Amino acid sequence: MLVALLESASLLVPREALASGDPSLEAQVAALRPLVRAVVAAVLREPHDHPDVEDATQETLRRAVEGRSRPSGPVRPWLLGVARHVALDLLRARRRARARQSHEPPAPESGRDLLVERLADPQLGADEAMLETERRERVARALSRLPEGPRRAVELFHVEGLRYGAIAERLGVPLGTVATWVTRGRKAIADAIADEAAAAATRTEP
Amino acid sequence: MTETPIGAPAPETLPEDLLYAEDGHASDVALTCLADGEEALIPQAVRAHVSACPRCAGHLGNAALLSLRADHELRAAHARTNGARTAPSPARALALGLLVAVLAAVPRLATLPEEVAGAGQSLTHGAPSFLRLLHELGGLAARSLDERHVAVSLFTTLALVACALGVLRRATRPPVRA
Repeated sequence: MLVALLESASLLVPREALASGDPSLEAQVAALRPLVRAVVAAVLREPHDHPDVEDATQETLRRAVEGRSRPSGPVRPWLLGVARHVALDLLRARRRARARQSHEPPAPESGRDLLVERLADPQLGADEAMLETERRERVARALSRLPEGPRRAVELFHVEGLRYGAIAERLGVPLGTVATWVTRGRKAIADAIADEAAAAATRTEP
Repeated sequence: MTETPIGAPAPETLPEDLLYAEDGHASDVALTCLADGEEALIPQAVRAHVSACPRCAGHLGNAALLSLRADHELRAAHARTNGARTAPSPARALALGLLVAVLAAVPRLATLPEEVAGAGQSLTHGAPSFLRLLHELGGLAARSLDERHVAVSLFTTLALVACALGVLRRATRPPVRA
């Protein structure tokens, strides 16, 4: 199964695995491989056909299938979380290797780097309780400024774990409206985090 | 790729105008759907484009990371809200403790008038009788240990201590973290 998993290289999700309702973890992981690859590529900031992206994707799938950890809820966020950690490990290893080779301190990070890192690793700066509180307040404010529809849509998706179809039924709106609302709510969160990243970049500037 | 069986209703997908951005790449809405595991809503042509286009593939990764991050933030916020909503309620525990204390006093109610009357008479004897009153009270306490309701008193005392520990534990519980 793992070999079959690692052999599939398309970015297209094999819908058979999802549509057939196959409950096995291996099948669900296989179906999510394209998304895993996309997450790894985003964290590493490399094209999706880069060798490191392929290595980290394979490592993620190997850990998911062979590792002891098992998802307690939906597979997708769990697997993408594993992918994020694998990619971050690789990113840090790269930085250490570069620092060893050059014997120079690492270059200061740009605002975009900080944003990607903030998106990639929510635990980053967890020891900075004040910053964490500030960030959460910022996100909460951003959500509270949203109209009722988008706010309810992101809450139902993330907190109650409903699929788009169920959200559409619950709110009595078409699927396209739900997709638009979720995108809009997500953008508000991204903007709040981007503000934080920009503030962090300003603080780190000499 | 599975084909839709003849006669079966076609799976619902997003309207065409939501699928592509003005520059011809996949729209944010389409990428959000893919990032959220809602592939069924996105037609094959769009998914093929995302598969082949490095820019869209990169954006899909960012959309998936953002989806993860939003998941983290909203669940944390929900946990905090729930934590505040179910905040420790010492008043409820104190009321329970008071009720237990009242129940503990019930077995003494039958003898209470006599005890009060006795104590009143002793008091009227004045200061010289004060020492004798103390002696009487001491004797009464000692006798009560042998009475049947000692088990009730012991139980209610333990219940009060448990209530107090519960209040203390809730009051010193750390804030909920995601």
